[in-house]
Amino acid sequence: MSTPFRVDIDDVEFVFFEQLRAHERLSALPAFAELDRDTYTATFREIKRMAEEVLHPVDRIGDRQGCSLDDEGNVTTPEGYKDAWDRMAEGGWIASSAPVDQGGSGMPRAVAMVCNEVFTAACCAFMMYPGLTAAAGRMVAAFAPDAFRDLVTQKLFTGEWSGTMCLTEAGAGSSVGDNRCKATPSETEDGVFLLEGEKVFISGGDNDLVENIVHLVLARTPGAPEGTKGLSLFLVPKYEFDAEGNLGARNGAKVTTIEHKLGINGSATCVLALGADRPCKSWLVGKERQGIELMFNMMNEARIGVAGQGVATANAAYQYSVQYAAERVQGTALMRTRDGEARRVPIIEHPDVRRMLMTLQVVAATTRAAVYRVAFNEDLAHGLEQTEPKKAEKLRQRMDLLIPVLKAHCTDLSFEMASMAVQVYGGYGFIKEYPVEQLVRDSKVQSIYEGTNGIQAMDLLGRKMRINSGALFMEWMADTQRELQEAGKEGFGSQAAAINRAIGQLGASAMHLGQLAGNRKIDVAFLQAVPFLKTFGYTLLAVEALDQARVAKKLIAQHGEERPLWVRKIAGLDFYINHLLPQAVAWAKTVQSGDESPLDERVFT
Amino acid sequence: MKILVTVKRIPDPDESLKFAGNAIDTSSSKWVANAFDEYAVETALRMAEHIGNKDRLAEVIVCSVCPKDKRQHVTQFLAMGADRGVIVDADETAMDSQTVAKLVAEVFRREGCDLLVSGKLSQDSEGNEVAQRAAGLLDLPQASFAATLRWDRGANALTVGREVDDGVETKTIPLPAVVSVDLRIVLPHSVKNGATADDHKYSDGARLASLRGITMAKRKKVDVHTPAALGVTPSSHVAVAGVTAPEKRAAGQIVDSAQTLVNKLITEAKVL
Repeated sequence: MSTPFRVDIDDVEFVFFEQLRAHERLSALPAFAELDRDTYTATFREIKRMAEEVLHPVDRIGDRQGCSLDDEGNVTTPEGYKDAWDRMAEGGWIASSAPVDQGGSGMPRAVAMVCNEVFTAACCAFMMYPGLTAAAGRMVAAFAPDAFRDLVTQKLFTGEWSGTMCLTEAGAGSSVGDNRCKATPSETEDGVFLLEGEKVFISGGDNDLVENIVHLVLARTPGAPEGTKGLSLFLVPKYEFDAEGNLGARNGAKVTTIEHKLGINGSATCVLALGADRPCKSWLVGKERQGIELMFNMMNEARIGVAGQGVATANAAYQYSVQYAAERVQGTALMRTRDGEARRVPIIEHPDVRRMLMTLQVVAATTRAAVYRVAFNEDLAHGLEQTEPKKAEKLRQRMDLLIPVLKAHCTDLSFEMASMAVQVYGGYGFIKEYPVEQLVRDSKVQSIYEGTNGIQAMDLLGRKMRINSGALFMEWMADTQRELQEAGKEGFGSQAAAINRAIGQLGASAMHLGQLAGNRKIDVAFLQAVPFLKTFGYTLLAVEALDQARVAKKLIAQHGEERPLWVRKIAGLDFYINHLLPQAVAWAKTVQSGDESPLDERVFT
Repeated sequence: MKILVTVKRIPDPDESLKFAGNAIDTSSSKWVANAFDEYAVETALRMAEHIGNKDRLAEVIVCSVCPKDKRQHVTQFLAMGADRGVIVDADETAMDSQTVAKLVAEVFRREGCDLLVSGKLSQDSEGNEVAQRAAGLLDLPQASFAATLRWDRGANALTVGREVDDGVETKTIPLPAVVSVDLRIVLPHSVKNGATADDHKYSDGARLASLRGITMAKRKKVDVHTPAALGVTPSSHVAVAGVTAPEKRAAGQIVDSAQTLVNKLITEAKVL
């Protein structure tokens, strides 16, 4: 008997209703004035049911079957995917936060993040299809030409069609500026460009879930300069379509290979040949040479989405582990090991297993809080744009600062947590009958795609920390220190002091790296980009642990009872401070070490 | 055609029980919708909708006796697709089934409904009374524990397959009527309304609400009545004598031979 998949919706609600008080603050915004706590509760309930009843049932079979490709370039997705897609589309879950008049469901971003997280925990491979479809829809809605914008947006948001993002080429991954795909204006058709090239790692490059697919492709027009500035964005449909959306001829975008991967096997990762066996017609999205700028518009969203996938893995890892540990009987209680007659106990009674479970629990909870907070801030920023533009701007800047930290830290941790879940299971964790080995395989890609975690660290250090001479970072420090003071008054003095020391080390690390850069020792500074991001990440999650404990303490006082969820938050803070926060300080020590050994030319010759 | 569906909130049955003195302590319970009521709403919706067409064959009204600010379960059923709601604002936990049945019957009368559908019981008290009592009060034919249901619109009647102890009893009752539904009413082919194709396969179980349905739920009309306005004085003729947790199972014994086991079964357990 394997471990059942379970969604802890109570913890989701704790973050949403108690910690962020999102329902109250969102109801003040005109876009969400009609939504109240009952509505959100009903939504979360359905999210849980969709995850447990519709998506998780296709998780393992998708992993085992994978996708297949025929000679015509048609991909067959695993058994059950089509039905799951139809039910998602029917329920309006594909683009939950897109505007209603565009075919979305009009929910806040914070709710879309709950969907993203919980559905990904249920079946991350499947979620690649709707995730990219919604992202493509937003791109089309914002930048596509009038002629087909509304039509294609509707088709994508409602899930009638699906979408892909085609940036990567064999020689252009992290270095997107090396893109070689060519776009030539058609001599016969006005406004049409013919594409030639090959894109790789295209998720959902073809599928049998929908009747048509639109690819958003980066390519270079004649005479455009080298590098990212010469790239334009094109829309390439699998089938051409007319103004009513009726499908026409097959277009020249064809899958030639699907990759065989470590994980997310149900997601078809395709090599897409453009213009190889027939002309590949495309239409410009945005203006010529604006491609990379448009893509960057979507970057924050994509990266926070991947951070949410990390949260999903950590939570799935915790939920599986805590159930298994309560059932799996092995050994006696530590104090009675010499007593041959002693009762055999479930492993949840062993101290080291409890330590692992606590780590899983705390990481799952704090990453969830941090990621929901960013999504929620996006709702606030959007809602306040007209009335309080300064506040909105500050919220956006905070997101800019934190997104690389969250993308990298949540996904580094998710892989660690998946591995720790295997450890909790012991030998059975290594066996495919149980679900946790798949978590390890499925989660690894999170630290790679949407900008590797190394790229995130470089973005943090080289770009975000330097905006307005570090003002974003200084503001974050000041705001956080104010919160720590408040926490000190509420009886969390020692924990707040510990976090404050970590912030001090984080600040000192930033200064140290700033000096290195000032002395033109750029390589030496970037050697510490990842350690710096980790210092930041471990500190940031400590602030969430503290915030959760403060909220829990108030709830306990208010209700006069100690509910297990609330007790976990308070215990979780102490655990975080003593087991995880020291890693922030340790990484800060690395950052400030002045070590240059990897740069020694002699070591890797 | 108007279908009234009774719906109830109950303490989450997945939570472990807490006791306070001589009663179950629900002060910190999470309240959820009774599962059998989900089946009842699903039944009504399958009767009302004409798959493949936009027209609806019936209006589905969900009715709950509950404090008016504790209506999350009503919102949930409106999100599932019920057309509107009626709440009788009262503390239902202090009422007996007869009072609830009187309130339901009165709502049924005032709304001029043709069919009352209820879950066969609520998972908290497992009373299994309200539908039958309401049928009595309304003097209407009833079919309880429905596992299948066919609506013959021409004859204005329902043919109901009832799950009873010794099998399935099929009976036809004229409308207006009262039906209580059992678990199997939500199997893919259990409900037929004569309009939707007979071989239409519904998803197994109560349907998931669409996100659109959820956001629209708050716009649907919900009337709130008091028991007094319905002419019913809440009462409870049922007194709770006591509530105790079942005794914990004692640890088992390991015996060294079959003979000892048999002896113990004879002398101690006295079961042989």
